[in-house]
Amino acid sequence: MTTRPILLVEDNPSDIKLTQRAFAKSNIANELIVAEDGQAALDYLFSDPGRQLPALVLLDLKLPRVEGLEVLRRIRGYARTRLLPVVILTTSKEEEDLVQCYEHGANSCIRKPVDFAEFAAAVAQLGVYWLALNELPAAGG
Amino acid sequence: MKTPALSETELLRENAELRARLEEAEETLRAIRAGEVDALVVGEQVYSLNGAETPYRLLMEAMNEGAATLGEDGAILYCNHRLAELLGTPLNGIIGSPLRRFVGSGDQNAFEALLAEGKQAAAKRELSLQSQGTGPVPVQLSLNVLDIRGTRVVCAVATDLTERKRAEEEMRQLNETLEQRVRERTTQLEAVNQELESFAYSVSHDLRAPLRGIDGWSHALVEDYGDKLDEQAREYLALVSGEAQRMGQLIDDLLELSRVTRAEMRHEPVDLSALAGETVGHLRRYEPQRQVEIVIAPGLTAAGDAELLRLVLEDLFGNAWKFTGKKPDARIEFGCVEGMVDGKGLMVHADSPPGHQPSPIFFIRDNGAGFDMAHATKLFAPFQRLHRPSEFPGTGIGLATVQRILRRHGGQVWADAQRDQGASFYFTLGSDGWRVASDEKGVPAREPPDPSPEERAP
Repeated sequence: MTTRPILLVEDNPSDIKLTQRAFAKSNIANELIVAEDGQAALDYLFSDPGRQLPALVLLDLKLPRVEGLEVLRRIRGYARTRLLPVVILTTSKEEEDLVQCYEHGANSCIRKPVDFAEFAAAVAQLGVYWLALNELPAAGG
Repeated sequence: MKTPALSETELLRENAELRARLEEAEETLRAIRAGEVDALVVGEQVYSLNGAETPYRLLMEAMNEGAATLGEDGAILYCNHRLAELLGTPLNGIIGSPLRRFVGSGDQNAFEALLAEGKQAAAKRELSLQSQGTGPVPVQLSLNVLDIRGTRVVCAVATDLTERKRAEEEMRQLNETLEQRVRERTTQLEAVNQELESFAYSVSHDLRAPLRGIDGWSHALVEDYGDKLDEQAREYLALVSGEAQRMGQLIDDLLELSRVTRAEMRHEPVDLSALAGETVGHLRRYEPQRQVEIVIAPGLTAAGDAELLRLVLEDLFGNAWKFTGKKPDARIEFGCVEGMVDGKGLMVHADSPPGHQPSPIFFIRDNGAGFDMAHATKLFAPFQRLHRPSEFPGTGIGLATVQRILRRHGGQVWADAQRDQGASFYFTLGSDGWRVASDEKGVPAREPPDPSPEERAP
């Protein structure tokens, strides 16, 4: 299991804490780095080429400053981050949004449920799948 | 009478005079016969002529159409006052002139063609006449060949189209204005729709996020501080969490309602029996312990949007499933009757009156809790509920969604129920939105109907 951090791009403080709590509860030890808007996420990923890339990006769609889809587009646009696993966390289940996410190269889209138990389960599954099971090519970061 | 002897010259002169008077008399007779003379003045006496042709002559003058007789070369032999009026030329300036002189320069060829045709049989054409006073006058010129005592003449009738053309033009302009207004309204509506869409989107996003917090943190309290909370505190937190989840469901249902209104509709053959079978399959998997007898008539098909019609069946079957939950011998039936539906969505004839195409009326009937029809006036409005949440949970949006979908198909939905006696929901799918595959190869329902085959509603 990779020990690289997870980048959570999320602006809602309550959702940030819930996600942190859910990760802690499902025994995911990876450091959770939080970027509270799209620009902060881009800064984290691109400002220091020497910095280790995260194992996984959890990306909200509706973000201040730079929108989620734009963050995704930039990630897919650079060779270094092109294969970085990005999971979209969204409250929307509008089909149009989902199609757009996948068209922009999202690895997965997950709708954040209202039910906390479901949310915790979704986060735990995310951790298991993307940190433990998923095999990435060496170039993937 | 004693006549003095006349010289030869005198005789010849008298003879010529007599011939001239005879010719004059013959011309007068011809004119009388032709209806050109209304009265004769002989000396001081006026003789009015009331021959059989006079009424026709009066008719010719009284009619609102310009009328003329033409020689075969198109020269005007006779014309009425109305035609003179149309041409803005006095009668004496018309008679004897070729009619083509009064035809607009752009219509000369058309006129010649019409004249050639009119000499053979009745013919008509729209063209413009040149009026001295007012310029071109649009007319319909009808020609027909007449045989008057061995002479072929062409009878011409010119109907003034000015008023009609003006009305047409007015109509065209009105239509254009109307179309313009429709375009403007459509643009406005599209803008409003766009706003609604983004509103629905932010409702989805922004309202759900705090709910997730409310639910999540009440869970966190129970999980992390459970040992410090007594039974009642935990119950309160469970209520907080339950309410948050219910509101989440409400938001989802509202979004669904808005989605079925916005979604693009397809028009395809839909196997309703198969859809019903799948729907029931889901319900059975979700609550396998329930014993419900389900009867689905085979081969029910319709034309419409399969995904939207699936929602209709899911909602209606879901309701029937829910409201039969307290019946030990629960029974749900999906079938179809043929009948006529009036404008208010009431079945008025089980058998269609002659000359009327009956439409299939689909129904889903259960023997569950039913409801009092007196309370059913707003059954299909969002958030209307006829049962206490403690008895049967629900958001009250399902039937509103059903109605919107069916209306978008040009159909309607209505209910019939009695308290504790079950409910029947009937729906139609518009005039072209249906087809019953009674004598066609209907696809069999996925859930095979019970031993009792297709049942017909009374």
